Order: sequence, then C-alpha cells, then structure tokens
Amino acid sequence: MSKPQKRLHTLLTDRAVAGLDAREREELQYLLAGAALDPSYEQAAAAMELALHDHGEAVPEYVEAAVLVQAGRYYGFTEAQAHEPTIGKPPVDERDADPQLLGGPEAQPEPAPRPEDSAVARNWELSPGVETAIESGVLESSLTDGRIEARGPAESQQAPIPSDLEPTGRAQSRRRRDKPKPAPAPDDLDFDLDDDDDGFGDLDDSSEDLAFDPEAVGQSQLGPSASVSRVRSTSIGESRVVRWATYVSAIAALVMLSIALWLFVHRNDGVDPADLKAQVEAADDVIEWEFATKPDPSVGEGASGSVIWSSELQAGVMVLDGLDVNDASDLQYQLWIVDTRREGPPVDGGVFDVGSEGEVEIPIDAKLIVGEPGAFVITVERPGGVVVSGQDRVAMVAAAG
Amino acid sequence: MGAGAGRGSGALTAFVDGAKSAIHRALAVARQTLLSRVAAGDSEAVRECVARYGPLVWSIARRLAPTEPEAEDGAQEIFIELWKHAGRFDPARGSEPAFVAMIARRRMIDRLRRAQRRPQIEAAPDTVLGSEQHVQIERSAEAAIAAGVLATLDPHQRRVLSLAIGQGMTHAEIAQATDMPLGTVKSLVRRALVAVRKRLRTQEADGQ
Repeated sequence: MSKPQKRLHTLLTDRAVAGLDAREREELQYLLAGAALDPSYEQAAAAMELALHDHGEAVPEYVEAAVLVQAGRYYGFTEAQAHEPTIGKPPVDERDADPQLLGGPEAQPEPAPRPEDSAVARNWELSPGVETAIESGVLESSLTDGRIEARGPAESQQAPIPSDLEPTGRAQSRRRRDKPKPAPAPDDLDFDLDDDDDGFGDLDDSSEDLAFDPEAVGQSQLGPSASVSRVRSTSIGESRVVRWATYVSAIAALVMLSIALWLFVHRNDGVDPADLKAQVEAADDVIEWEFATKPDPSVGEGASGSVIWSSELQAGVMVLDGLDVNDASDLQYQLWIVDTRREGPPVDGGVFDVGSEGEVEIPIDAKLIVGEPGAFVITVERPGGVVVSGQDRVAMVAAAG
Repeated sequence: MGAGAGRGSGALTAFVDGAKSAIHRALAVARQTLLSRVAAGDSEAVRECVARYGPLVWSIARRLAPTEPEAEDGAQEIFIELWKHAGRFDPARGSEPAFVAMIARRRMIDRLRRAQRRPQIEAAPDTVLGSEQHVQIERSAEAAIAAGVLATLDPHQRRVLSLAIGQGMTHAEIAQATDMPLGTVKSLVRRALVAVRKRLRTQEADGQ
C-alpha cells in the first residue's frame, strides 16, 4: 500500500468513527481525486455501534409524530392509497398527513405538541433543520458502493423531498395558500455534495437530478388491477378448453403462491447442523469442550456429548449422545451459556428436543451476543423453556479444561 | 382438428403464463424488505419502520447530539434521509439495522462536526439489552461480527471504543478523558474498526 493509499485508509477510518475536521476533509477530497467513498468503513462503524450500545430508548411521542407527518408529506400518501375510491375526497393540498400514519382514523393529523412551547415547530423555524437535510443531507453512492448507479434505482425509489416538506407550521400555512405541487422541479433537489457543509465537494459521483413523480407511486398501486385486466382480456368463454385451462391456471397459481409464501415464512427454520458445524469448525476462535453428565433421569447410561462454539460467528453446535428422547408436550431441553463478560443470568442458548436415540446434532440458538463463554449447561425445563432457569434439573455441563 | 390443437396450445400457453406470473409475484412478495416497502410508499411500512427503528435512531441521535432539541432535529433529519435512500437498501449487502445505523451515524456526525460541540446528554449505558426488538437489532449479522472482535478487548479498551463510536469523541478527547497516550488511542480505535471491516468484507465475499 502506497503512502497516499495508507493515508486515505486512515482518513476513511477516522471519518467513519467520529468524522473529520475541515482540514482532514480537504485532504480526503484531494486523495480521493473524484473517486466515490468506500462505504465499508462506515458499515464497520455501524456494526460496532450496534454491538457496543443499547438502542432501546423510546422516541418521544412528539418527535415520532413529527417524523410521521413529514413522511406523509414526503411520500404523498394520497398516491399510496390509490386502491381507495378517490371521488369525493378533498384535494391533496387540503389534506394533511395520512391519518393512518398517525395511528388510525381516530388519530390527530398533527404531531402531538411537545411540552412547553411546541419546541419541535420552534426548532424547525429556528434551525436549518430539514432545509439542511434537503440541501446537504445526501448519502452519496458510497452507501451502496456505487452499485445503484450501475443498475439504476427504480423511479419510485428516487423521489426527492417535496418542496413542502418542512416544519409543520410553515408547511401547512403555505399549502393553504398555494396550489398543490405534486411534482417539484428536479432542481429543487440537489443531490450533489457540493452544497454539503461537510466539505466533500464533488466527491460524490451519484449526483442525480431526481424528479419526484407522484404518478410513479400511483402506478405501483395499479399493479394488481393491471393483472386482472390482462386475464380478462384473454378470450375466456370462447371454448370450454380455454375456460378449463384458466381455472386450472388460477388454482396452480394459488398453490405456487402458497408454497412460495410458506418457503418465505420458514426460510430460517432449516439450519443444517452439518453446514453450521463446518463453518464453526473453520472459525479462527473455535472452542470445543466435552460435556460432563449429571445425575438426572434424562441422562442415559454412558451418555456423552461435546460442543463447539465461535464467538466471532456467534454460532455453535452440540453433538449429544445418550440423552433421553423427550416428549415435547411434557418437557424440553434448554441450553444455557455462561458468558464471562456479562453479568446476570446465563444467556439462553435455545430450547431443543432429542427426537431419536443415538447421536444428535443441535445448533445453538443464542438469544444474546455471547462475549466469552465460560460454560454450557443443558437443563430440563417445561415445554417452551424458561426465561431464567432454576436449574432444578441439570443434564449436562461443558466447561473449559 | 387444427383449430382444436390451436386452442389446446393456447390453453397450455395461458396455463404456463399464469403459473409464471404467480411465481414471479410470490417471489417479489418474498423478496420485499421493510425498507423496500417504505421506498414504494407503503404507509403501513413507514409506520412500522418508525416503530421498529425509532429507538435505534433516537438512541444514536441522543448520544451524538449536544442538546435534546438537537437530538430531535437530528432524529427527524435521519428519517428524511431514510425515506430518500430506503430504495437503495440491498439485503445482500447487509442488514436493515446496520443500514439505518449507518445513515443515523453519518447524519449525526455531520451535525456534530458542524456544531463543534460535545454531547452533554448522559449516554445510555453500554451493552444493556432491552426488549426482544432490541435484541433482534443487536443480533444482526454485522453486530455479531463486531461483537466477536470487541470480545477480544479488555473492558478498558472497549470503553475507549465506546467513547469513539458512541460519543463521537476525537482521539485527542478520548486520550484526555481516559489518560491514555494519544498514539495508543488512535491505534486501538483504528485497528478495531479495520478488523471489523475486514471480517464484514470477508463475510460479504463468502455470501456472494
């Protein structure tokens, strides 16, 4: 790696972690020489963000309501409801955000006022807020490693922010005065990073003049209707054969649709223990421990077992031999992982059944991220398992050494 | 005879076309992600998106904003970015939580750098998992890979990364806050990110 490449690598790393100052941004711009940003640095930072921190803080209601109002304006949900009869509905500019977005017909179309002085609206008035986002809030092609430019996003996915997407108060008063603006001019949206204060100038090669076409959204809603029309346009009724074939076709289509949906719903069900085992065994940090049996009625004579685990993959497989075949309606086995890096009770490693005598392979289904396993414990629990085990019945334990 | 054969052939063609159409529709439904539905302007998906990723966005905005009003502005900007770019999400390249977190972090870091003010809001504690929903977010493939790397660090080193990633602190600020040499901080943060990036790229390559 050349010196400039190394420096570029360093700058991209620092940028992903906590941003760059003005001088570093200029340096980055120079080193990139017009090339697109590599998104993999930011992806790594996002992964670390997810792994390091809790993200359970509830959004204040007034913020969530404001977000939903903006979303309604952005998408123009009149088009999203194209399947509903439109005759008799008020014109677009007299409508506010989609009431469905705000929690159903009974919900108010306006965001819930913030305590004190409705600071959300105040902030919109006082700060660059959305304008800044519109002008500079651009996720350049680096988000997608340039692949979007190669294949071209769908029209419905290119909608820029409508011109009336702004703070609640201003936007509404303007809509009352103005004619509806279903399709803002393309130059309303600047997708070029030149205007972005972050100083990346023309680093982005995804500068696109994207026209918002409400009709495009509406078209997507017309899909099913168009299909029905096409079926009708075939010459059904001209002969019994054709009619019969149409019925059979419809039934076959329904069957196939059902199969596809079933496969989708159950797409994660069929983890192949053998494949998983091979992946875990190939991991750099794989550990393999033998299970010691405990005196429990579920443990047969000469029972044994082992477990392999990779913290890097957050995956593992148990190979067990000699545990009693269980009746899942009566009791089930449950794995617990003692995490030496986590305080509190052991991590739930998943409920499982032993369906046959002899050796069985059980994939581990850890419910939380395991930092460093200290032990694996198999308990016997009621059907469905428990949140925290009393460890009244322990069948097997595997630990280091 | 000829006409009958023609009708039979037409019926077969109609049958095959109908079956193909049904399969394509079923596969299209199966391939839909929440963000693709959002990009298509599905109002229900938008609500679901705000409900599902609101806490993630809000947590990041709170941590990386100097004040509560700044966090509110930031959260709304993040969602606008999300509406704009939802159609660019590719499930083959990563998970939705990681995509949302990336957008959120970028927006908030931009704001932070412009404002040049440090967050004053008390940060959420590290690695505390809450509801099942958050567990699901943090169990994304990317998070698991990052956790694997982070698991190799001692608590002090993890704290440094938490300050860098979670608080957006510069190397110098972290060095001052932790009494660690600046060079050590830089090296630790950069090596950790590079290690995660390398493993993510390896995983992506394996998946393609």
